[in-house]
Amino acid sequence: MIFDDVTAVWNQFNLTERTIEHLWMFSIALTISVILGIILGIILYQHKKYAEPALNGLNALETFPDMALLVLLIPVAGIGEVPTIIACIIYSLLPVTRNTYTGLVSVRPEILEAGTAIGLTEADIVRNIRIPVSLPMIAGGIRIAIVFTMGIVTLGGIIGAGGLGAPLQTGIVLLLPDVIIVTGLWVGILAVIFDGCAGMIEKRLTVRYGEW
Amino acid sequence: MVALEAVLTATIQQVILVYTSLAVSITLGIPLAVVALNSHKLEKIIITFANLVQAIPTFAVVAIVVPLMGIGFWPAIFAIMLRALLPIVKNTWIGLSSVDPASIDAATGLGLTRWQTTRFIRFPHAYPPMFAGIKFAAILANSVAILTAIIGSGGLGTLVFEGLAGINITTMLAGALPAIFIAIFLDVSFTRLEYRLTAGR
Amino acid sequence: MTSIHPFETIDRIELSHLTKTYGDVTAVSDVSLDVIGGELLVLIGGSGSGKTTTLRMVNRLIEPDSGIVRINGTDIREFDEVRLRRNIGYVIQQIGLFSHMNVGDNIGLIPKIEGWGKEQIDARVHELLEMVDLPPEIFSARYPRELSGGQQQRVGLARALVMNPSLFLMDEPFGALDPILRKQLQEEFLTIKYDIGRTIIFVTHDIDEAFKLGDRICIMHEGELVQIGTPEELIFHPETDQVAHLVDANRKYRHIETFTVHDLMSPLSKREFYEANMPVSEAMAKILSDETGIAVVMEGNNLRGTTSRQNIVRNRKKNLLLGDITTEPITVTPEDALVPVLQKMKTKNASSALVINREGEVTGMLIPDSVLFHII
Repeated sequence: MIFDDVTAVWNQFNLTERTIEHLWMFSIALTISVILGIILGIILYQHKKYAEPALNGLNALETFPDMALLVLLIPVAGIGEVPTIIACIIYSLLPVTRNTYTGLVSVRPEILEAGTAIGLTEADIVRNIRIPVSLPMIAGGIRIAIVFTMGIVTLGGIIGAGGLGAPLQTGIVLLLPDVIIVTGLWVGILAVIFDGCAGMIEKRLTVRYGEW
Repeated sequence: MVALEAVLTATIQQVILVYTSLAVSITLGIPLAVVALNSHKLEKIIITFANLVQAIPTFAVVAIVVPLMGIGFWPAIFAIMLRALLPIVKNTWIGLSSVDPASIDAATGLGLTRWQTTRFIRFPHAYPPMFAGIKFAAILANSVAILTAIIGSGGLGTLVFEGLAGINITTMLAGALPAIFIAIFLDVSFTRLEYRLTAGR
Repeated sequence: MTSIHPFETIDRIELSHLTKTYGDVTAVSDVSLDVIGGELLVLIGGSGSGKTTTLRMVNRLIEPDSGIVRINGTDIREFDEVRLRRNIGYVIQQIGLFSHMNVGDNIGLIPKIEGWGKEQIDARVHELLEMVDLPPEIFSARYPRELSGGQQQRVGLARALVMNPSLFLMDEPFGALDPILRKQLQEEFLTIKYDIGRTIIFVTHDIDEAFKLGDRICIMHEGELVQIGTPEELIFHPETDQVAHLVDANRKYRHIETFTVHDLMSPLSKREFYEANMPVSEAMAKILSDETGIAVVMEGNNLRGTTSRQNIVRNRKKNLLLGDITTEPITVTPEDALVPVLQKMKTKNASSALVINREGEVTGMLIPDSVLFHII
């Protein structure tokens, strides 16, 4: 009975295609945020005097309401997937950058000293000690970025980006409870699964590389 | 052109939405954290639930409220609260439970009751993370309150959605820009409040 | 590639007029001393004596405000500091193992950076773990958090040995360990020291450790060098009251003729007793997990003999029973006067003796500081 209703909604609103669109945007946005975030974190580590202003700036952007950020991007980037992906990146950059930077700078001093004393160069220390020891921290940042990106990709439906936000909006505007429930729960399940997987990876890295 | 009056009305509605939902969240969130502190079973349920809901996109949360409560002001407050409650509960709980066990031991040894220990030892220790949680909740509430215009809460989101529907950039910005100012105001004012209340700790 | 080894052997290290201040605090004040190639020099003093600062100026972890360190006549500032450090083994109390790397990778990191082949690295790691008595097949793949404190310290030592340095700097390497384990590691360290025959500068605050290990001892106080000399010189010719007090705090060195075995013996716990018919492989598992250094091997109620952790680890692959690898120890009673016992041990070249009471029970071990053999 229930199954039939769900299938009906699913088919009528093309939820398979919507899900693919949704995850496509999600993957692109997340990949770019992670790459940019890690690079930016490393750059800030190399130029520490810029770290505080840069992180404060990203922090301020983070307080902007996500809808307001999307709207601000419309005059620049139009509507649809592009502004949605840009908004995702702006939001997700902070956790990845901040955690990369914090991970790199907060390695225990006696480990660094041991590295120096056995004759590692500064570059050896970054490559062999700082980066591996930071991995759990960076994974933690990516996990937050996953939650942010999922949230904004869903909002993208409102500005014509498609994805699962679109049927959600239709459901609300036309007051179709079954569409809202099916799509809403499906979005929720997807988000929880992604977050859960990220959490597991983070935990593994912590066990593998974490300090004891 | 957007009438200044419309912007003002929407801004006032927005502020009311933010502070009402924040007040409800604080009133519910802090007792929930205390409950979590005192029962291992409930602690697990509350914290797991908090972590789970935090991962769900805001739009999905707002949407799900419609079949449950319909549309309008109170369903919107409920939706905002579902978001804003979590950082308050979690941060308060972290603050309360991360007190040095030796201080708790010493307090118990001095003859403080469980409640007095919570009141005089745990809470003062928990203020900094608690305020950080409340500040974050306020900023989040402002963000969600734009979206809830889609379920008839009023506020600055009304202008945003109006602008989107008519592809009118001025109207959109008339909603978005004041919302950003409110966000900055909330950030600054709560940081000040936090500083004044926890200064010297 | 001439600079791979800035120095092959140490003839002499000269520290001349070293001074280091931090703000208003003078950590080291005009310290001059010579380290002779092949000796173990102990720097001893309380906290704030400047001993660690002095040590760290030798591998340039700290640069002096004034003064020069020369190795074989060359100012160490002329060496590339990375090259210099790869040729100086450095072992500290906090060990500083890299928690994200397993034991093998910790030891093999510098060889890997130096571009050694994988097989060559593995062979070296294997050899070093054997040297510090950690069976490589068990320990190579373990992570630092899975090791006890003593095992971590052994890995730290192996890591410091990897590039075959001719100079070692050690800063209270046994300081965080419990007293019995510490004595055992000191014993084993002494055997390694003779194996490798290198120059060592060793920092400690423990006078017994200094007398046990040091060829010469340098006493420091508030950043200044107070006296430097052999243990005998310090005991019999202290230059200040402070030195006299420090070297003879427990009076055992100058009043040794009044002591009995009982005064100096270390008690044994149940964990140190083994049955003679236990296979060596099984005994190894037990001695590794117990972190003890000696096995007293019994045949029922009768003493079969003793054997060391080192002996057990090194015989692990032969299909033997523990009874097959014991040696007959020197036995003494608690009431025996100490001096004749020490003389007997000295002639038999034994570093320890087993203490057996009147009822015939094994009650402890006598592991005297090496200085005692010199002064009797």
